[in-house]
Amino acid sequence: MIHARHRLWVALVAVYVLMAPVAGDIGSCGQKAEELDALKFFEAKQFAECNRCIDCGFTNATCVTICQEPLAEPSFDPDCFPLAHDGEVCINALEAASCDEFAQFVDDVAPTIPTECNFCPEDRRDEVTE
Amino acid sequence: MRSPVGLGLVVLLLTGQASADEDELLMEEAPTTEDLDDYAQLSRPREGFGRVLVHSHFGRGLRFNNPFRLERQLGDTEKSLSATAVYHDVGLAFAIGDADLVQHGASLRLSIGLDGVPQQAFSLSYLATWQPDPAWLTYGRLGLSVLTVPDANLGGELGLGGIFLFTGAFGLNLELVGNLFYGAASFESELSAVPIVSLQGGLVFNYEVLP
Repeated sequence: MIHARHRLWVALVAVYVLMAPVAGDIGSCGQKAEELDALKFFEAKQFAECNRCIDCGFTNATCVTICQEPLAEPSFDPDCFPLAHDGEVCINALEAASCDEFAQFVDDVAPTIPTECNFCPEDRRDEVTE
Repeated sequence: MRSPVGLGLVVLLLTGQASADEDELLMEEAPTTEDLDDYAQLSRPREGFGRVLVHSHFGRGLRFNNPFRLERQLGDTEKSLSATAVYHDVGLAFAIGDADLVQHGASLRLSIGLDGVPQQAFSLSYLATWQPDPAWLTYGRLGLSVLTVPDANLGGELGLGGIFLFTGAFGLNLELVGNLFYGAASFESELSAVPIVSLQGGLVFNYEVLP
């Protein structure tokens, strides 16, 4: 049986080793370019956001909506075609955000969106359309 | 008629010259075996020198391409520069060779991101060190870097650094590191190249094994 002091050391080392990025979530070089499935993505996103609301103890209107309301028919904008890896990056970013950062994403008045989840920024879409 | 004083000076000069010549002759005598051994000892290359370096660094990088809009984008688009997370880098290295020339060895490193999505990178590189001055140690390294979670990836790594040794054993280190990774494919490209330049600095422990 591991001594309590040893357990603390093991936990500290584990926390340290599980801490964050260097190059970032760039994906694997063998990963193919697949289109992101809207339904799967929005379900996974809602699940991740609800978990974060619970973890951070947020009970504001946005969090209540995320956790209680069924998902409306999900789709991306007509001229937006994100990749499967875009979806993975977004979910990973939501899960890794601190509570302070996540509070801004689910703010009731002026929510922000992490750049990782902003698949087709409006200014980029304008450029594509032009 | 010549004066006796003048004659005296000529004799003195000639005698002095002869004495100097004798000294030179003495110096040019064949050295003894002992002398030769001493010369050989002093002039041979100082091989068998080795050093072990242990370091702890903190650093941050700049990505020159960011197809997945990772934090922290510094411009308006994914093609803008973006900053990586701050990371902690620990490493162990050794180098052996001639103390007065370049020493060759290897470097093993582990970098751990300190915010954002969890990620670590292991790197194994060839290392060349050169100490132009007792207080300064310079080095270059070239190797491979392996990214772990969330997706495994393999990239190239090049590092150039300098260490100011404020004691024989401890120094301050600054290193410029260049990485090239190929990320997940996009609709535009099968391989999305992600070049990164990082600057890291910290403390180094330098243990030298003298010949």
